[in-house]
Amino acid sequence: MNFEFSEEQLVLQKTARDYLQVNCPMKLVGELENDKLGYSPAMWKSMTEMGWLGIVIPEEYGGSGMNFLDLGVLLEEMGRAAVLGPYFSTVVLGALPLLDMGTEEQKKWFLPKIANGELIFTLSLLEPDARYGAGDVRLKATPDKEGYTLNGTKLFVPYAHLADYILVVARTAHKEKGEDGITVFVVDAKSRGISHKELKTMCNDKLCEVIFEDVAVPKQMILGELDQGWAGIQRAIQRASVTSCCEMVGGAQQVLEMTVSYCKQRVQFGRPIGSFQAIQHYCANMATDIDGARLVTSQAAWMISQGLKCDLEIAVAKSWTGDVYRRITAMSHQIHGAIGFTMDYNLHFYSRRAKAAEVTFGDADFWQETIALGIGLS
Amino acid sequence: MDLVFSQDEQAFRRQCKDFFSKFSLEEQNDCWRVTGLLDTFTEGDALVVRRMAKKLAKDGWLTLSWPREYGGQEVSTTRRLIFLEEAGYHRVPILSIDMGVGGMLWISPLIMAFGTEKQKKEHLPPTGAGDRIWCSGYSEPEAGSDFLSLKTQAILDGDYYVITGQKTWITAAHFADWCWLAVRTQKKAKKSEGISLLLVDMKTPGIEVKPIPTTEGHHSFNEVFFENVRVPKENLLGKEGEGWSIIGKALSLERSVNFIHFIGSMRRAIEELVNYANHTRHGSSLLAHDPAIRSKLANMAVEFEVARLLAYKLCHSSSPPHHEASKVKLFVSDLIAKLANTATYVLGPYSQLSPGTTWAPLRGAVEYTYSMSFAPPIGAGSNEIERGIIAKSGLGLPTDR
Repeated sequence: MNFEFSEEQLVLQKTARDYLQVNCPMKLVGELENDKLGYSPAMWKSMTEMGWLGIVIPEEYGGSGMNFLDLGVLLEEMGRAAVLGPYFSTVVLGALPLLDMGTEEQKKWFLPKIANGELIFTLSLLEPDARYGAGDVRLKATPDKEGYTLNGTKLFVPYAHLADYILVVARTAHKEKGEDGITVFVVDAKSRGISHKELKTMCNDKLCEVIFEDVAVPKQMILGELDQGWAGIQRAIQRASVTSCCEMVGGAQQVLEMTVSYCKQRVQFGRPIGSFQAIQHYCANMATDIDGARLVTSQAAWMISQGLKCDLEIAVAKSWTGDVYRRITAMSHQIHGAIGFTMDYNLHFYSRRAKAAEVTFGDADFWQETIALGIGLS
Repeated sequence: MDLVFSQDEQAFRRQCKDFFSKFSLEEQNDCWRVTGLLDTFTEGDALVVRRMAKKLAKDGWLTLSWPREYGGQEVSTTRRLIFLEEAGYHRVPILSIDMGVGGMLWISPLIMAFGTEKQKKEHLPPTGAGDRIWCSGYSEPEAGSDFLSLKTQAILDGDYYVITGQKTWITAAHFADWCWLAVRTQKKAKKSEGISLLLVDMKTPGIEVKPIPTTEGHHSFNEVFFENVRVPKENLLGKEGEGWSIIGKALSLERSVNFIHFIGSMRRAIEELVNYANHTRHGSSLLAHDPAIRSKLANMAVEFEVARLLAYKLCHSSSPPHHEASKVKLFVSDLIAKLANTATYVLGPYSQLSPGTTWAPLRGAVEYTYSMSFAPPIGAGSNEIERGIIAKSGLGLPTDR
């Protein structure tokens, strides 16, 4: 048994951390949150040059062919730096489903352009009446001469305003089970009939409402099989959960370090507040819980990278890590007192992201049933 | 990174399962009560403990991880983990809870590391053979978490140390053969510097053991009084004044063992609760279909997985710093308490029924386990102390003094 990252992973970790420390300071993150585009094209270019966009894309499609755990290492650093941009949506919600469900032709066409930074991707799943279950997906895809016509509304679509392509989870048939009859389409974002609106969100992370009005999609743009898309989307949700956990672990570790550093400096009653037991105990609890989050997340990421079945481990990782990140940021606020609450101080970047990450891709309640079944409850 | 067991390790686990299931069955047939959800209480029955120790010692199970030069098989860390986890899963108490045979797991390795050749020859063979049961004398009425305030003194008089004082909460002292005793040999400005470790034959004149019954009328703990007990000076382990550092190592070893044992027993407990829920009806519906029960058990499964990985990782770290063991102790002990509590919600009013009574589900184990559940967050280093260690040694927060 070995719990450590490989040499290569450690190098990747250090390179990423060093790059982001210099090129993604919190000041920039703050600016990006108020920026029209919501990302830094300069950073996007550097990320491309460093091979980050193609990290899990096989070499034959222009990437570096690294594995899911390697991606996790990188995302942990992005989480630590609270990076804002369409990296997650492009790589996790775009490249990974394409790799998983795409035809050879689709992979040859799209993946190299993702690896070289040319295309930004996103995925639209949630709807006004639908969360992360299949049964409620209502956006309709009706067949016609050339392919399909899409009608409906999607919500919480990250970076739809910038994306070149949007993966759309649509209903092509009504069957007894909601999961049957779902099809995934790769839709050109510039198609006629698509309109989008950026929602004002807690993290200013460009989640959009996207309305599809008679949007034509050629049938070659079906990703995977007709009516059989849900299994692939479930895998996409699982991978998104785990990669989100990696970001959360990075963010949580950063928060812990910030908090400990503050505790050593801030003096009240003639001594650093870090010498008070209440504060020490809060910090000890945070540190222990974060270590746990790192382990369950690494386990899930590693198992995915090895192609091992791990539905239970993924559910455990997202349940625990989402809850931990949220509660340690809350604890950190408590420890910091008023200063932590100001926009000048950096804690708010993390506490907002913690909540958003917790409720996205399923919170602990969502994954509970997977866990219940996983432990053998009938 | 590699988080699964190899084929060989899986085969070893099957071997352990085989051995422990036969073992448990034999013991149960011989009136050993499986009372706890997380452990087995042998009623501090000396005969039962000794018999178990002998059975475990046969075929070398007790000394699996010992160096070959002392008769062990030097099994890998992972195999040791598997062995202890399976012992916990099969609720074999001897390796952890009763501690009586703990001599095998941390006392012996420290005798190997710090002992004289004479001490090794004297203690290792009988301990490894299950013939020498140990207890450890740490706590005193005035020295619990404040361990360094211990007062039991050992004064050198010619060729003997003369021990006077009182220890408390000593598990298994009422039947142990020898005692791993923390004494004060010098009064120093820095309290930690005057502590020494003596190996004491419990048959030495002047030692009196008084039982301390706890919840359930359970007898495991004792007060031990030392009245001018003369112990040969050769029984000093290491050097005078070196006791505190040896004890630090002992505590780390003890904790790493306990955690793995509990990982096994918690896994078993969750399985039993799931099985109970799957087979118990309340009116027309199955308990397992109650969303609140599903939720509670799912939450336990999540925390269990966290605990398992924390404990596994600690086990696989060579010489981990103290505070890493503290994190595991903190998390696992809190989880034990939560799990014991959760079990009572699964059973509802039935959780009140004691072992041996009619209608008691799961052998009354839930009642027993809940009543005992206040102990783990306190014993072997209270969780408040552990948090202090994590904060100060682990995170570098300043001392509060």
